[in-house]
Amino acid sequence: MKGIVYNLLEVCVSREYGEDMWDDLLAAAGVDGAYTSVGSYPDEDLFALVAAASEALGKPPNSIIRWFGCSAMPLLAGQYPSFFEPHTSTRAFALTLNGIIHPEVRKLYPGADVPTFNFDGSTDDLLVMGYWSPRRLCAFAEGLLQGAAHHYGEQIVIEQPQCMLRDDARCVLEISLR
Amino acid sequence: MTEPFEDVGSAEVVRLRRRLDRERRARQEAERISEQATRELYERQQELALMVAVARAANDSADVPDALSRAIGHVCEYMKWPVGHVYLADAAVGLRPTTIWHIDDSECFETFRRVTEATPLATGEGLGGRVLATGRPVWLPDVTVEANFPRARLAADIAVRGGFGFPILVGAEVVGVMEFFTDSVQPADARLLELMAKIGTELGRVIERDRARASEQRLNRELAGRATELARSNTELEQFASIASHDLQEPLRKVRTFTERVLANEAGQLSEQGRDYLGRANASAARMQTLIQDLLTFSRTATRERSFAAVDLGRLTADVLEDLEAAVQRSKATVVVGALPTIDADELQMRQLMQNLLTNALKFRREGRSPEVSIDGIVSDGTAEIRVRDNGIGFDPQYGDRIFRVFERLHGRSRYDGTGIGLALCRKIVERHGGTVRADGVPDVGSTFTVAIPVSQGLPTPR
Ligand code: HEM
Ligand SMILES: Nc1ncnc2c1ncn2[C@@H]1O[C@H](COP(=O)(O)OP(=O)(O)O)[C@@H](O)[C@H]1O
Ligand SMILES: [Mg+2]
Repeated sequence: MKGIVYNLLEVCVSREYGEDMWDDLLAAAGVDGAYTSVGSYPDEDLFALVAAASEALGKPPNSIIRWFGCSAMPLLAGQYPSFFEPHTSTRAFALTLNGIIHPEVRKLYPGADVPTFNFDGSTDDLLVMGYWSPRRLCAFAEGLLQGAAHHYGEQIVIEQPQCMLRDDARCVLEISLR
Repeated sequence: MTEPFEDVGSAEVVRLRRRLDRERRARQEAERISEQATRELYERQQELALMVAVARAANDSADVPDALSRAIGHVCEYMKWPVGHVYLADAAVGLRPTTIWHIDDSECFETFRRVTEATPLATGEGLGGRVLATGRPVWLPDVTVEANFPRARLAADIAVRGGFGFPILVGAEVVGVMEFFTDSVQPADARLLELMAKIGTELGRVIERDRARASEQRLNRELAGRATELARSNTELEQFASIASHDLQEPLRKVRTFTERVLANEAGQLSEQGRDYLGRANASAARMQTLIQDLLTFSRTATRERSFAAVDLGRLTADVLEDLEAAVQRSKATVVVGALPTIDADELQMRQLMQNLLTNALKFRREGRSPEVSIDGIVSDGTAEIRVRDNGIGFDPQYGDRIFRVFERLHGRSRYDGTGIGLALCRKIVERHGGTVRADGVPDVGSTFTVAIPVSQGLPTPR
């Protein structure tokens, strides 16, 4: 994972639970903690931090990840407004992930390993996103999408009829407006 | 109760220390990453500059050696290596050393240069031979410890250590090998080899282009050679023709003069049969003169310089008919001349053409029928089409082509006099004007000869 992910996590945790909490999580996870945005760090660091937070807050790891995605989105919107400004809906925004957002991320953060989604936007009121990654971070995607919905003043429901965490070959995220 | 206070304070200090330390290390890491990125960018830029320099050498060099010598100069400069050299592939030996070098310190590497230039490499032999065999770059960290580096054994101190070579490729064919050396041991550099592979392909294009140019030049030379040969054989033909005309005509003229003199002055002394024989001998000699004349005209048509000018075919035809006046009268022919165009042509040859066609039209007439001959012309699409029609004996259409060959005649000389050269000459003339001629005949009905010639031969328009 690129350092920016850890930096985002640090801001989210510190803002919500205080800077000491971040110190504690680093210590509990047994990670080094000196992350710089363009550096690359082992994925295990992220999962160890999530496990530590899960322990400390008494919440399942995936809800931590979901919360992280959701809280990180406003930070991304502040940092990269140009990805958000052309759109007025979560759906339109999400549809630019493969073509614009993640390709740009690859340029800004050399070595970034971003996922590619299989979109099915053939129905007006349902956006279907196929997701596959060895990191199995569908909960992160869900959180980011929720964060985006918040940004556009929408309320969305995400269902996963298929999920890698339930041993399916891939995840299918079905997003609809509430 | 003071202890816990101190503890809280020191715990806070420790925390802050830790955070500060984390931040410091994060910053150092960021600096390291940015330095590396900058360095990579710089290296990429240098690579690009090298590629551009090589491409430029490839494109605007005077010849292959110049391009190669400039390219090795650029590579040496890029690598900061002192020695570069080029081998060219040679079917017989494998790799032939060239005298194309880049050497920074000529004194120091003199032995190496000498040994290299004296040592062709077989496929698989030495650094270059291995590149030739595999088509892939080869890197030798230290040539002096290499078992397969003959030059290290040929001289006590060749002053080079690290070396590498890469192929100059035209497609998959290794057409040459570039090798570079430095005076210290050098670990292999994969990136560099990749870059050099690109350069090898770029330089392959120079050789490919040179080959294409060489084969074009060879072709041009061959063509030029053929043209000179043709010119020579034309000259020879002309010389032969003029010698023949003189050496054959002179004796013939004498034969005719003396037979005619005998016939005129001594006819009384000769028997009837003697006079007949002598008359026939004279006629034969006369025919032979015509034959020689015709052959000469024919061969001169082939070698004659082009001299085209505007020719009014109407006037020309009228002139020709005036010359043929006697034959027209004798055969009681009617000749109708329609409108004829003015075209760019060789006037003399046009005259010969019309003369031959009209003579034939009058000559090959049907028994008991006076000839009716018509001449007309039309212009379409820049081509003038001239037709000469008669109501004579005609011919079997299957001979439509044959009659244009030299000496091809369809009728015995006993009935129609001639040498069989006229139509061959006509065709040659027409072809020299970039045109065509065809014959259509119906036995016992008549013949039509159609000449098609471009109106313009691209002459400047007269003011
Ligand atoms: C709804 C919108 C988005 C979704 C669903 C999404 C989804 C994801 C997911 C699931 C990952 C985890 C990588 C993996 O699965 O292997 C990821 C990584 C990442 N995304 Fe997005 N993303 C979104 C928007 C953005 C935006 C707006 C940015 C930033 C401008 C961004 C930047 C990144 C970065 C930097 C990574 C980390 C790559 C790495 O560490 O190699 N994403 N994204
Ligand atoms: N107008 C014509 N009608 C019929 N046959 C012709 C005519 N012109 C030419 N030919 C045939 O083509 C032959 C070749 O003609 P040409 O080359 O002019 O030779 P020549 O007139 O000396 O016989 C003639 O011998 C004759 O058989
Ligand atoms: Mg004739």
